[in-house]
Amino acid sequence: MDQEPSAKDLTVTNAEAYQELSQADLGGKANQMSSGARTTYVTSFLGKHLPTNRLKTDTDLSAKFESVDCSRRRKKKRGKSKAGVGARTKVKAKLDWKLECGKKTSYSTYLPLKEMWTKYIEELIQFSSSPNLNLPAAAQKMMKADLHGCPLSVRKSKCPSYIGVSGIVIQETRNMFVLVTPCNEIKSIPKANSIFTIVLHDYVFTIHGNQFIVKPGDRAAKKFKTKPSLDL
Amino acid sequence: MASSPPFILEISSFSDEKSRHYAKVMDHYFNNGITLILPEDTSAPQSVTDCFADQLSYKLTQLPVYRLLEAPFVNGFVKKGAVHLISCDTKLDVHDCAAVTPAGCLVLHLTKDTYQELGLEAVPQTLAQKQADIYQVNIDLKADHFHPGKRGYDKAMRCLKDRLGLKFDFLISWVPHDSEVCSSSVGVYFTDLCDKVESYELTKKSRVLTSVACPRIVAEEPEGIEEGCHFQKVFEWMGAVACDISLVSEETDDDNYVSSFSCPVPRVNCPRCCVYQVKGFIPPDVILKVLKALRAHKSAHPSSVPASLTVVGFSDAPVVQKNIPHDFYLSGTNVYSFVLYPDERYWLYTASVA
Amino acid sequence: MRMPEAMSTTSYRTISVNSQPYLYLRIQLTVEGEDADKITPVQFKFLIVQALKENMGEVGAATPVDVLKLLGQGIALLRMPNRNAERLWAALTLYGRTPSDKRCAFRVLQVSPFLMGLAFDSREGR
Repeated sequence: MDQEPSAKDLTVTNAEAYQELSQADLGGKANQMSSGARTTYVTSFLGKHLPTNRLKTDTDLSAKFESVDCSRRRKKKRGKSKAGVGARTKVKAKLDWKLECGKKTSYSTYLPLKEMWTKYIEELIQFSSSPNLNLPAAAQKMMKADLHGCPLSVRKSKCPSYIGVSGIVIQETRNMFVLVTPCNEIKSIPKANSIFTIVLHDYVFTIHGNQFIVKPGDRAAKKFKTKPSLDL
Repeated sequence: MASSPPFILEISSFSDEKSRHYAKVMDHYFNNGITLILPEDTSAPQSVTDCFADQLSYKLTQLPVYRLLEAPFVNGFVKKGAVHLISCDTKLDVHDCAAVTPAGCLVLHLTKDTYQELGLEAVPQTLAQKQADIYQVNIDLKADHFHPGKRGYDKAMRCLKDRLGLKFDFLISWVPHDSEVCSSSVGVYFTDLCDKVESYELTKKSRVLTSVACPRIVAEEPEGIEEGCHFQKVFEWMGAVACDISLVSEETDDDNYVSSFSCPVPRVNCPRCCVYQVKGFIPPDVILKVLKALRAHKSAHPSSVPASLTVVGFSDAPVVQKNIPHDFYLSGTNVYSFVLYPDERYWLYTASVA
Repeated sequence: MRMPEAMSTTSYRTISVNSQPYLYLRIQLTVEGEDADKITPVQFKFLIVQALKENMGEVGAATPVDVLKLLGQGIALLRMPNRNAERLWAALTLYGRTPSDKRCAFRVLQVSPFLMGLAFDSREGR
């Protein structure tokens, strides 16, 4: 059979080639040798330096464990991350806003706003119409008015460093007034535990901060109740 | 009643180098009255009465507090002597009070309403102050950074001047470091700055008791084990003498319906006893002089019954000793009392906030 | 309660006492339409006992009180055991009518756990 030896040859060559191929594939004999040397070096190094109880062979499964029940942790993490993301984005948005206004804050920039507000409040309360102001009605209107741009000062506070701060309101939130002071500084003052005053021509309006803790948007709709105790 | 001030008796000697009598007298800033009990004397010795002669104190009517921050006052008086200044006719538990201590510290003792409007930072409250809603603001007038132009100074000035305009009636006395300077210059300084300046005179009273029952006091035995009387009873007896309570021996009136008080036993009969009382505003330096004179007098005229010097402080003083706040709960009692023995030994009673 | 703190040397030692046996009061009695100077110590004591009896009953009236001294203008110095002080103080402030049906009032001017503390009244106007 002519073909047989050739076939045999072929198989032989194939096998040889395969052997060669596999050797080449494995990265060469020299490489294999060096990796073996490396592992022996590492094991001997570890054997020298590690405490005996850490020296465990791969066959020893006692050192290997995996938590099966980690459902609680995962749940918690998920919940946390969700809330965190929300808050972070919120904070980031706020920060951006703050930075933006922090860059170009100067008292004079807000003076036109103050004038606008004065005009607006004069219209609202009708200062010009009668010399004797109907004070309860004016107070009612003041409570519902928008305070952005109004000149405000802190008259009383539980915290002594807030006392005496005055400026133009540039932002009102549920808990805070953000003022810009004549020294071109931005000051955030909590409404709680403080008493504010607004001076308008000959009238002084007093805002009891503790009772003013409402979102500025909701304030227009809110019914204010008269409260007897005015202690901070 | 739970909260009575601690009562301490110290037994020591003037010759002991660890003796605390100097510190005790000098740290008790605001003194309202002195009582001297001098057994076997008919009048207070000249050396003692002379001590009160040259110290002047003034009453300033409606002085705004910011005047005390002004540079001329701070540089001219606070830094060049010991200023003792206290608001008078103010009650510690219900009113605002103010004081300047010789250490140069302006102490404002404020009620809640004033504090919340004033805008000056308070020191941490003590428990009693927390309960009474009282805040204490301390301003160090002698501090290096406390001068016009600095932020802290300007803020304090603004708060006291423009915001509230706190005004008090003050008692002031000044002891200059330089003995050449007359202490009356402080009165002159304030004449234009407040409504009225008047000299705050001391009232001196002297009386002689005859045949008075005295407790027998033994210096080594304050607890009164054998010979002597218990020190608490001795202190009560001293109080009775100071208040002019009759100490007739109880054998004569057996009816004790009105009062069961009597002189503690064992007792000795003292043929005469001089009680010398001074009321006014007395700086500690004067009391130190009195104490010195009394020691000299005592060693010259030894007697069986020791003499005593009692100093009563203002019950409405915001600070008693150093910067320790004075907590007015039941009473503002702050009293200390020396009992002097002929051999330089003494008992020192302290009845006040420690 | 006594706490000897330091007894290192014979020359220096400290004794500290935390509670006082007595409480002393300076009080002022004003009776409507009557000169307060004319009240005798016995009458004064009688009124105090009356006040106690009215407000605290028979047992309250047994509270020991000493009228140490009667100064002018109806001002008196009282001594009472510390534990009865609240009871007596309350009785005095609540008392408003003498047995002869005149309006009267006790005013507590000064309080101190030490008799020495009453020697001067720094609040008294001069």
